[in-house]
Amino acid sequence: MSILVNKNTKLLVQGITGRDGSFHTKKMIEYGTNVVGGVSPGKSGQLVHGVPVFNTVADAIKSTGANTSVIFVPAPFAADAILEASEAGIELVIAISEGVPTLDMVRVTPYLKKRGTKLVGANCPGLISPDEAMVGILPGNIFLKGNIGLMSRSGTLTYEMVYQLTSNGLGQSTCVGIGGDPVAGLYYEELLQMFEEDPETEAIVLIGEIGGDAEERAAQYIKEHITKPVVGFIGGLTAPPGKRMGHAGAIISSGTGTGAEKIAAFEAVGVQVARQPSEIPELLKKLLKI
Amino acid sequence: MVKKNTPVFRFINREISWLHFNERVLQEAEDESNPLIERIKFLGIYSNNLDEFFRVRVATVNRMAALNKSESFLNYKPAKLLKKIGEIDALQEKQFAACYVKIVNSLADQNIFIINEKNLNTTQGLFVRSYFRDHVRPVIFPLMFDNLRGSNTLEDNSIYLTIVLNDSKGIAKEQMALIKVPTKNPSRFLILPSEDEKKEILAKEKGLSYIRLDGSIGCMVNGAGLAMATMDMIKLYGGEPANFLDIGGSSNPQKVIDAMNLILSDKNVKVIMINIFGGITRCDDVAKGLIAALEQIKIQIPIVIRLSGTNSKEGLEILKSASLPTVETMSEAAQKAISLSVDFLR
Repeated sequence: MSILVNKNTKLLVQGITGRDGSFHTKKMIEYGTNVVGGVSPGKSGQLVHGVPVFNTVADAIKSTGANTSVIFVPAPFAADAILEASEAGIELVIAISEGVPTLDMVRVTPYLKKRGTKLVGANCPGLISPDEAMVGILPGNIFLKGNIGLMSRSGTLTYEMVYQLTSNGLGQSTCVGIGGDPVAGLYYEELLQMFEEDPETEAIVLIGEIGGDAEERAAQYIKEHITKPVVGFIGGLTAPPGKRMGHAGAIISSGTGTGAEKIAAFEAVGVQVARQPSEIPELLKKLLKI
Repeated sequence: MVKKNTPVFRFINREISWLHFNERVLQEAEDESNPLIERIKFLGIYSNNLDEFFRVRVATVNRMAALNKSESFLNYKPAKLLKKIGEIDALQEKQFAACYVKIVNSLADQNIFIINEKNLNTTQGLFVRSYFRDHVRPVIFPLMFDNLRGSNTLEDNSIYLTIVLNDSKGIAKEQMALIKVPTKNPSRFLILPSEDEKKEILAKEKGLSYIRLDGSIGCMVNGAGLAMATMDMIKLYGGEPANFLDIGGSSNPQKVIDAMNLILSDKNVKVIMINIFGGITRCDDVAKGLIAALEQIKIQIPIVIRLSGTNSKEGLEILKSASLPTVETMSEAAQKAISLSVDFLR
């Protein structure tokens, strides 16, 4: 088991003919992900790395039975692509595109919730269940199959953490990059619940950063609903207030959203917080008594 | 002796009297014994008063003039009064202009500069342009003259600018329009970015996310989360990061060159720490960009490179063949950068 993606994932790549779409399609196939088709309007009939291209998501589903879609289309058109996927019956949409307007996401997220379509992102690196499926832009070689569930607001910081886990022999059940935007699809609470229910996951790593109050809400959720051990990390402790640290959501505004507050919220509910990435494996080993 | 039957009007006309009152305000602005901030305020009060005077009182005199009432009825002739108001106003405007120049110069002595659009440099121009686009443009609407005839869209108590609209391509003909001047928001003054903020704006134009800090270790990282964690790591080991710099999720070698130049523009930087974990950014491209950048810029300070992830094998080989030293982990990189920055100071 794992969450969200696995051997049964039949993946579509929306925007497959673009530079990044095509490059990462190749990487996903190499990893062993079952990429069944691509979508690029007006380019039906082409093949990209042996994958058939369709004009619409609906056409692609009819021919391939796809159930998951990853979005590589440019940010201004990403919202439409997400809606098209949901409309056509895709169950899980992963939006990689960076710079999707917040107001587009405000429009898209409640619609998807109503339809029961799960969304990861936008502005995220994707997700992976090691040895089963990798969806997105993650460097597959650093992951190892195992029992740690990981979720993170950042892309490259996720890789750093995974690198630490893998080199310490701690494999992962599923790693999910939820994205750095202020309005996004699945967030900590939903993923915590999924990991809680996944029999393969034994411990959870939550990687947060400054800005917003998602980590504080996650802490509350952990206290009320999660029985598995959780370890945290917060990026941006040295960030000056009032500055947007790259991610649209990573800003300490009017003194709220600081790293210290988030660490305090976690520690108050018994979640141990690592001070640097390399501490994560030690904390996990102690909690899992390895 | 006063002649009998000659009507003598013993009062000063109220409009003229008011203008003299306002001149008194201007005198306070001119008075160098007043604090500078008070003098600016007096100048503002004078100017605001005058706006209202024209909007309300002069408007009434104008309407009187249009009615053409006799002098005996009003004790004055509206057309003549308008002329007189014009004369006094012209004199006061000269006085105002001289006073304004003096105050602007005194402000400059205090390092406060009021400049116009012709004094802006390129970065300030970019900043003003984006400020206009985001904050001013949404609240101004040109009213075309053609559409004004017979309509009541013009409001009393408002200030309008008359503008000429022309088409830079010369296809449409010139048209006149009015713009109602927004008086409350946005503010009448715009504070231009400081040197540091200027750098941030220029960096953004090049697709780099940069924030200057006070330390001595220049950081170049891909991804915002890792960039934050890198800063935190440097601090954790007792060093001080010189900046936050996310070179973004693409793998364009030009970006590495721009990023290098940006870090080196900060004279506090004693060591450069490059921390790349490749996902969408391919390590071989980063390595090529690094070598290209190092060929272009002479770098006198040590560099610590940490490269891992997509195509990392190829990237490390490229760096190795250019004899650039690399380290394996992020904490190693941070510790090495800190010790090098300390050595450099010695």
